[in-house]
Amino acid sequence: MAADGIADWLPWLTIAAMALVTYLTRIGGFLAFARVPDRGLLRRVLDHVPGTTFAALVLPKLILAGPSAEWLGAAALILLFWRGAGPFAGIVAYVAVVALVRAVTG
Amino acid sequence: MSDEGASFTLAGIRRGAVAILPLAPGGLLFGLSLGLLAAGAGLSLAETLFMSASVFAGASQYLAVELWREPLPMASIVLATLVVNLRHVLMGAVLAPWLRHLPRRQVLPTLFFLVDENWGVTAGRRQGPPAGRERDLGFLLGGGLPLYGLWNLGSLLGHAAAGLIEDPRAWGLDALAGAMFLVLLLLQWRGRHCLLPWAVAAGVALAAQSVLPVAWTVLLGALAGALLGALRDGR
Repeated sequence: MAADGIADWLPWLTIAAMALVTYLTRIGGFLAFARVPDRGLLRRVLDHVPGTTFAALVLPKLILAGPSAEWLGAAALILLFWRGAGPFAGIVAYVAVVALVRAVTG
Repeated sequence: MSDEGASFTLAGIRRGAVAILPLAPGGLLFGLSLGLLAAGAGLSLAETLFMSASVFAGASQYLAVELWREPLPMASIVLATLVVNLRHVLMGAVLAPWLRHLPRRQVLPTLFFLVDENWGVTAGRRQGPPAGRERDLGFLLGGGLPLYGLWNLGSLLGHAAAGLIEDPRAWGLDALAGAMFLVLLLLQWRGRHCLLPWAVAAGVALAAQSVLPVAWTVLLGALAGALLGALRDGR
């Protein structure tokens, strides 16, 4: 009976623990780095982190895909972005180009 | 310095909500896809909604659903969640010099709504000369709230529709995710001096993929690229 009770609650406990560790990661960086000075090496590292985070997230996948529908989609997105078309147009173009190339090449 | 005028206003929330609009449809589709996968993995509707409402972190939830089975490997799931979400620590650290000028009773609840999308858009508005930087905490919250609503709505609809749709991957969601993250990368562009740190970040992340899980390679690549950029800028 007792074991059954725990098994019933295990999914909820697991999710609650996921929520707790996730919130700790969200406030942890702020709390730990609230005293970083406005100048200095650490500040300059953190200034670069937004760009390098997304670069590390998105570029390896693109590189590994090789010449592909994704490359054409990315080229369309970058071109639109560069011409000042805004994020939404770029996203639509990327997805449309990928879908089109996949449909044509099967 | 320039962040001493930090504020938290309704106008800021509105500005943040408008700025996140281009990414909102993607947010809804991510939620739909998660709901479908969760139903497939055997999570009940209530469990799925509880997870989306309390965790609100896409990548880690996809992974948790992937690991979900009987008997439930609680420790692995929670550990995987922690590792995938460690990048939040970096994200919070980036915002810290600004947020420390605001009361914690405003900052700590707002950080619950910190995700890649509103962080990326906010960070993009904080690059460049100090005078033009966004310094209203409402901007971050205003970006997070619509994403939170759509994430939960998507999870609900996706779980409900699970019987109707066979293969969520056939929707081209992989392409959508790629496009959104590429936009978030381009929002950080501040000229050619970005190229070297970005290339190093991508190269290190790619090289590390043969030995480390992806969550770690992103952290490692981001730090390596940023460190190199900082050392170069400092000379």
